[in-house]
Amino acid sequence: MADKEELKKTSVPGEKTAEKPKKKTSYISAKESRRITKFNRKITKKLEHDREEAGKDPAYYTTKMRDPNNVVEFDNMCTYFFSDVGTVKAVDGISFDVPKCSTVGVVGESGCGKSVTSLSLMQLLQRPSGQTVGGEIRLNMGDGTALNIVNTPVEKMQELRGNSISMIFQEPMTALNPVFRIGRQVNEVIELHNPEMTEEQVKARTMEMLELVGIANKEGVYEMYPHELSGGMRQRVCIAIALACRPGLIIADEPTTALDVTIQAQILDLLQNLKDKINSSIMLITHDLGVVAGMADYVVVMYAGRVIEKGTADDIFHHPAHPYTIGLMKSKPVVGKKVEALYNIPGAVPNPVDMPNYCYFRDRCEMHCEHCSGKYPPEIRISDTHVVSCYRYFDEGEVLGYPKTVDVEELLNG
Amino acid sequence: MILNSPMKKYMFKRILFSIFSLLVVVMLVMLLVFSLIERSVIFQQDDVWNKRNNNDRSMYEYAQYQKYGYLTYVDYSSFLREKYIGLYGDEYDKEADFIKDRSVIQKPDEYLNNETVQEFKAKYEAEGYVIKYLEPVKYKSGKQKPGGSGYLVAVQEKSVVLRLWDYVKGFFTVETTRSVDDPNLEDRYIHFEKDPYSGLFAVTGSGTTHKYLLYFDGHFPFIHQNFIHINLGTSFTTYRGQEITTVINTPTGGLDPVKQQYPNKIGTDEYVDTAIDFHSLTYNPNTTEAERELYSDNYTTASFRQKGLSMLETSFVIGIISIIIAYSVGLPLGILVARRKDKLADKLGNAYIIFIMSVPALAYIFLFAAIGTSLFNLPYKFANSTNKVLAYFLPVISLALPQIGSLMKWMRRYMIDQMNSDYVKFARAEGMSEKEIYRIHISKNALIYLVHGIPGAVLFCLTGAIMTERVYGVPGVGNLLTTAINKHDNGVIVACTVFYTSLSILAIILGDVLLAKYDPRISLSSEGGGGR
Repeated sequence: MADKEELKKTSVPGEKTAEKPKKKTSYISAKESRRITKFNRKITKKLEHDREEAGKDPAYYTTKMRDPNNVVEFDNMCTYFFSDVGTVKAVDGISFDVPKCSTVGVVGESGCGKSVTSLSLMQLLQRPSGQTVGGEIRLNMGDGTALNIVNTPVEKMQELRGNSISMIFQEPMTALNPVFRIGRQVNEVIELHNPEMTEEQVKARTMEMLELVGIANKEGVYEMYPHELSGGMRQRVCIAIALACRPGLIIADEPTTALDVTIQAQILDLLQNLKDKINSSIMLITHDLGVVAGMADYVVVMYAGRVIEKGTADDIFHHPAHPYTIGLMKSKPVVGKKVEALYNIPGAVPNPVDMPNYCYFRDRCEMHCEHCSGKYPPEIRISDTHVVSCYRYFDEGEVLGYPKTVDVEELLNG
Repeated sequence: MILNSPMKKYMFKRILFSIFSLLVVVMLVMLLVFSLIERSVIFQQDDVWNKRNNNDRSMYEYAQYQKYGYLTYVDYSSFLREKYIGLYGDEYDKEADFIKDRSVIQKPDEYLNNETVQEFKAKYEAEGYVIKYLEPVKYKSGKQKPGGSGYLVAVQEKSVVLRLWDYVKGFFTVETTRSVDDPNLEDRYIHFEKDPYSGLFAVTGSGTTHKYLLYFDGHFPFIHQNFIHINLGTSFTTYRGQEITTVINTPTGGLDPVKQQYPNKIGTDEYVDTAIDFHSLTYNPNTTEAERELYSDNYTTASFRQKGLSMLETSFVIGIISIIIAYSVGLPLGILVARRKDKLADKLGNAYIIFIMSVPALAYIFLFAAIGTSLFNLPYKFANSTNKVLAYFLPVISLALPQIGSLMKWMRRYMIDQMNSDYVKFARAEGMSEKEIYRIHISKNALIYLVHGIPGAVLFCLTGAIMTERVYGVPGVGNLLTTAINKHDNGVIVACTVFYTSLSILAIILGDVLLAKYDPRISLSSEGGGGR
């Protein structure tokens, strides 16, 4: 115990602590607020301009996959929100791959950047305030080339959305347009991406999709309106729409959070089966470790906008390496094990506007060491498939590289 | 089929409720205008009333009150006349009994002992009348003051319920072959026949008030009927004795004579230039032989063909054009400003909306009038403009521009509301372009909130626009109610109430039906619990 106290004291002198302690309040002076607004306007204008320029020539957004067996590669992707209280680094230099025909689970607590990652991949961020400012997202086009989603123009993205990548949302109750019949809504996406198909073909495909997602009364459902279906049925319809064009990647953003547990299992089963049927990958975003354990081949653990650990499901669940992951594993209830109270990780996530420049988890970490007060930890490979960002493995593992962040001031001037 | 079965049941209930509430509203208005408002104000500018004195003035008041519908009264002298005609025939006024009975009411001390007076009293008191004796007014010398002769009257104030019942009874008149009460008329029928005036068939009748019951002609709405006649109410002062339905439906222009033939001259080559509308022939029991020569039967009373539009049509034409403009401009503009939220177009749109909403209606009507007349040389006053089409411009624009503003406002608001909903995100994730999302998905959902108002907007064209019509001097129905209130034209007030109330009720019902057709989540049924 005494050692730990000692350690804490010695670990304090970092770069940050030399400065005077920051005010804890969220108060911003009028002057500061004006400065932020002005800065935001400038930088978003520049970024939008850059994007428009980049979108003009396919050379700017066509790249090559690092590994052709991946569907999507995130490479140091940074997505920032230029908000009225400052720049929120929602996702700051994350790198992970989604291999073909596999399920990648992205887990983390609320606000850690899971959804922003998926929205960046779809280019569905709320622009102009939300911008992917750095890094690459490479989407495998299947013909040896790849697209860098970050620079892809909107028109091209519209072709990809629903066709190569599609998304299933959390809320099936409201995801369907209430005033159109189910059949029309499924038809719509098929027609959109297959303009050469005739009306009969489209309807046949719709029927096929409805059957595929396990809707028994497909003829009836075709003519129904969303409000006439239950939540589970609506999620099936959403899945049918998402899968109608056989996408290479399905992003499932908490697809079962709004459903009850029995339906949850059915929907996940369905997703898993359909994935195998149409040879696509799933990027499963959830905060439910049970769902990830049951479905994912690979798991990416995110914390405060960064990937802290990634590996196969076995790596993460049976050999968690990062203190946060270890904490997560400890905090889930286990059947047959009696505990007084469930473990919880102390402290809270740091303020996204003003991130520390040491390990984000240090202040909550029970295992932190001297190194931890230094630079943000690099990615360290501790086995063939297992990568973790923690100084505890600095000496034994292979250091892969530090996450690259983007200096927004520099971006504006450079 | 527009209505399914539970909806039919629901609509039936709705209509019953509507009729009930209509009756309640009419009753309240009747209570207000006939009982609560001081009635003597009707004589404020009445010359006859000013000239009369004493009891004569009171008798005139009774007569006027009866005419305005406040009460019914019976004069003793008319009772007396009827009684003695029955007894002695036409020469009754020479009988001594009659003279005695008539003069007795000039004697306040003894009139109650008279048998006929007692009979009169007993009869009308039994019927609920109040007997009022107006004593002769005399100078001290014993000479009668002018207008001071004595009267005996039985007066009955109508109760509101009775008044309502009378009104409802007279509301619909259905034509039958028994409508004409003339013992000399033996041939009574209703049948189809070829109409010599239109060349098409028509339903004609004999024994009915109107000769033509169903016919076609060249005037909107081209097919006309006289089977059912609706009487909303009768005007007492503004349009002396005319029914309101006639007033608002009669063209306001001059006579429109055309070359045509009298019914009995068809087949001959006798043509006359006349404005008589032979389709409007009604039964006249006092037809002369000369008239019969022309008309071949007793249907000899007709109205005249007039040029131009009726008051109702004028208001409706102006209103409906402005509404079509408002919806076809306002809704797309609303979508546009919603798409360009916070951009220049949106700011301009907002500036316009705020202008229209904050400036009083009268102010911008005059502003439009000023701009229109000075910059575009449009005619200002409707009535004395030579170009009838150009005259419509300013009233229509003055009505349309504010509506465009309000439609833009609501459309923008609901579009922005819908822009952040989940189905929009999902549609984007499906790969739809922003344009398609706005055009197909968002606008249809945003319109749900506006659909309900469309039938109302159309129907309320029929009530006219008071201020616009006043400023431009449009001969429309907008002024009907205000003029009627000013002139204590109680019949018109009640008629307008019924008309406006039924329009409102109809507008809401139609709005609900339209909404139920448009939004699949809504179903009209009395069972409750349609969707989830």
